[in-house]
Amino acid sequence: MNCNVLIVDDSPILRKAIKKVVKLSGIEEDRIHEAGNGAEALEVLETVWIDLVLLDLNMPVMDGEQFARELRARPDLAGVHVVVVSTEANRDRLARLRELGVNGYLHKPFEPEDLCRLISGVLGVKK
Amino acid sequence: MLSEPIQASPEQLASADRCAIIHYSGPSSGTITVRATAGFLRGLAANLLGVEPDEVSDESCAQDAIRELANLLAGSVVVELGGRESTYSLGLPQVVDHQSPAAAGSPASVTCSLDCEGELLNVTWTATQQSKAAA
Repeated sequence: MNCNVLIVDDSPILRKAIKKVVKLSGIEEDRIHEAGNGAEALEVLETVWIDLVLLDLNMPVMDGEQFARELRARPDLAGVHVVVVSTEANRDRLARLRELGVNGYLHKPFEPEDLCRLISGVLGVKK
Repeated sequence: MLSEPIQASPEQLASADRCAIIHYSGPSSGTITVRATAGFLRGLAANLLGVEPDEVSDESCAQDAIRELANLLAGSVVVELGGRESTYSLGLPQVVDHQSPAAAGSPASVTCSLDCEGELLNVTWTATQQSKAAA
């Protein structure tokens, strides 16, 4: 699948675990990128086109909500899809993220099939 | 990893010398404290990475694993308390120096120990502030 995915999570172990699931959904390994917080994610977006960001919310330096806000303020990155993957379930925060145009939400812990389904749905891929 | 609830002895609890803590706040607030043995964390990290436990030797892996476990447990607690979309918020999980359950506990805390194939996991939930509605 010719799509680039960026996994943004402050836990290296979780990034690796999510990466495995992303590979299961048909994304090639060299198209999967990683960042440890929102600021690092913005740096990645400066160097490579990303189709889908899998975004944790509670992270040091720059959290997921701030990242989404910065991303949506950039017209040149308007086509980047964002799926939140987080333990955070705060109603107000999730509402703000929906207003920012976040394309999906998955509560951790999750089943790998659920993430695969979300990725396929957001990227418009038939299984 | 198979596990069963146990009544952990003080010696067993002392062996669970890796500790992480996470706070939550909202209609009520509290903390989740996770203590585990190094062996449990190796197994957890290996499960997450899909490798054998003896392939996980990095200490940072163990710290990352216990932080993420605290995060996942706290996420489940706030869903139990407030549902899928609530007004609860989570803090960032922190690895801390080992605290004994007795020192960390309070009358408003609940603790549970699991024997996971010979390794110990201990989780303590401490409610630090109840909302008027909850009370």
